Amino acid sequence: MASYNKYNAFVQDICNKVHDLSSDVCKISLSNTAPSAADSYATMIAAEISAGNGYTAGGTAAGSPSSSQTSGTETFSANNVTFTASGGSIGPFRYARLYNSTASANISWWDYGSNLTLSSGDTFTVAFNSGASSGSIFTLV
Amino acid sequence: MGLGTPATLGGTNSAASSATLSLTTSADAPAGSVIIVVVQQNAGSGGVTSITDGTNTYTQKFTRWDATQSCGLDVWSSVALGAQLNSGSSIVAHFSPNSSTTGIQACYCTGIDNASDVTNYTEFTAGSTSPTVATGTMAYAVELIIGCVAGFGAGSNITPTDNSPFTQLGAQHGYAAQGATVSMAYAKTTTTSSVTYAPTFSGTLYGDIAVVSFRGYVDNTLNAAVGSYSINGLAAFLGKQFILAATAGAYAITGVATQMRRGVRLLAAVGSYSLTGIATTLSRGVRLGAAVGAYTLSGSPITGKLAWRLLATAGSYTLTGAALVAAYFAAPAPYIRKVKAVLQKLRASGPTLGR
Repeated sequence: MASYNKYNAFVQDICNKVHDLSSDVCKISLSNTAPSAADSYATMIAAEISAGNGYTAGGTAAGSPSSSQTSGTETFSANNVTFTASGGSIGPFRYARLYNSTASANISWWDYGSNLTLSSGDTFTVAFNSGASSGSIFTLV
Repeated sequence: MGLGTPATLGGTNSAASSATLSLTTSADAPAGSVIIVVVQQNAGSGGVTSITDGTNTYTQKFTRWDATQSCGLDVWSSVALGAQLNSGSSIVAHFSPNSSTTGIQACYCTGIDNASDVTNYTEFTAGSTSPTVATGTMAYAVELIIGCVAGFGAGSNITPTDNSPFTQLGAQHGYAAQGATVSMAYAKTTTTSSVTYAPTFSGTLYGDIAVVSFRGYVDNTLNAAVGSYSINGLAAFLGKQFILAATAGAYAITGVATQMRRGVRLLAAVGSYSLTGIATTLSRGVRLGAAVGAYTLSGSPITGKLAWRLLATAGSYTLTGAALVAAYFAAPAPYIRKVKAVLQKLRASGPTLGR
């Protein structure tokens, strides 16, 4: 399972009430440039792969985001995100980055482990916590 | 959707000469799937002019005309279906000119590109019970390979047995008396290594064997681990040296009992305070420091001893004590010597006295 990597800005943005994860739109975008924890939102966006053949600039929203608290632990979850190449290839790419598109703030990223190019008809799914259709993204204790 | 597993749509054959051969499908072909059709005919080179099902477009992926045996082998595939093709639909092969000794076998498969990748064939006009053909190195790791054979045999239905990794999808015998045979099998790959189709037949067959591959779609998944964040507070120690800043007003300050020790100071702003404490034992060398004020000092009886001093600052004190035996006075030298002698004896055997 690909490790969760944190953008440093996220914890500061939490304290500065940048995020409203109960209503903001969070997206997964793809990149072939290794992210750094210190990356700003602008740096992250600039490293996105080109749009086309089924990949939309800015990536794809994680559907049905939810944030709930149980016994002092807040858990943010969403539906898995799937990209499907159509009419051509997508990529190459290696990194999936999660960000808040409403607030223009980066959150985290995962490393697929190797470069990947989707041929037409191929799919790439980011399965949160290996869920079949949805899963937890992070917890806050 | 990744590469699926092909499923047969059935097949049919005919020994009669006709411009068409129609297959009635035996299963639903789902939307998004691709239909693959293998046809045998003896109309001649280019004898199959089209395949139709009333809705979808089919394109020719492979064709071979064996003039020696008057046997043609064609492979066609549809576009990805926009809608399900229901069971009972007709898939029709069209011939020009008319063809006899025809056979058609069809299947559908999900998760494939309808553009073929590898096509290869082997002609075995001299006859064989075990013809072979290899794909050569594949362009993609994940592919669907259709292995097919069309030929004539020695007067009976000749049935194929497929080699691993191929699985039979069906065979037709359009003219049993001549051993007409068309068969269709499939294999799925996971590497680009060459795959050999080498079926064995129940009798000698004369014709062509071919392989046609279709790139399979690949589903890639990134299993994203859950992240965790924690908010930790620092412990706060509340105690002396903390200053309570307050504006003018009336405040009541209460607190837990505190033990006053030497060197510990209680700092307070202007106001009214009550200071109470527990009893303390005065010992030699211990001093009670106090600012100007009125104090009452009392204590338990004390035995005065030589060299003990009670130190006090200016003030009023009441000093009480036990009776003291005077032991030192002035006298002429002879009397002093006698007294010293007596005292020496008393020291040796009696109570302690001062000099």
